[in-house]
Amino acid sequence: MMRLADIQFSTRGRAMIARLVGELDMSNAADAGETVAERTPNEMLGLVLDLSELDHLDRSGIQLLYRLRENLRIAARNSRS
Amino acid sequence: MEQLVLPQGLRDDVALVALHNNSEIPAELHLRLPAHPKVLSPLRRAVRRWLRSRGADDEATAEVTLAVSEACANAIEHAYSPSPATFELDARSSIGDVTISVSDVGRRRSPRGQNRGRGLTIVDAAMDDVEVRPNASGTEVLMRRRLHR
Repeated sequence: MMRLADIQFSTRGRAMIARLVGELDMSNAADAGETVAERTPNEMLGLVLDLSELDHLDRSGIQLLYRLRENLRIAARNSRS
Repeated sequence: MEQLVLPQGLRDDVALVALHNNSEIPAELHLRLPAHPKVLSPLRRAVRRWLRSRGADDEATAEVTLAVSEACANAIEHAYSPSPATFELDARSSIGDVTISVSDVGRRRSPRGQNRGRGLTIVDAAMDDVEVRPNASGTEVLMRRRLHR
């Protein structure tokens, strides 16, 4: 993804923490979403998005939150079945 | 001040004048930009600088910049034409408020998907008055906001 935003990953227990730094808008939100999804293993029980260092978040970023929530929901359903 | 004033003192008063050179920031902004998402970040920087030069406080600067970015994202998302599309931003201020217009050229697409259409909701929340004006060549979003609430 372009350098408008950086994503730093860490884990706490079985939760993945993604810390977004910079700006998220329609130019990079989709790439950011793919990066977070790719770096979040299915065995993780949760995903925490740390937005405290984000200077700008627009509706593309809000869409990203919904999309990641849906991904997690699907992953959880698949792991139960 | 220690370096300016001799240890033995001065025989007269000292005046310190601080100047901030903002001559490069125009009183009004007129931008015509390609309808491409990559213009949004530099556009936000330009709008932030302009708002601060107009006396906007941090809250107004952040909220108006967000609204302008959303309106421009709408223009980029909705604009489509056979030739490379552009959109225009005009910003002006009067005493205590700013008026900003974002115009695209082209027909508006309908919002698609459950998360579409949030842009104008955000613009409405951030600005005092918002008008969406379809015209012969496209759509203009006209936004007004007081700088100090």
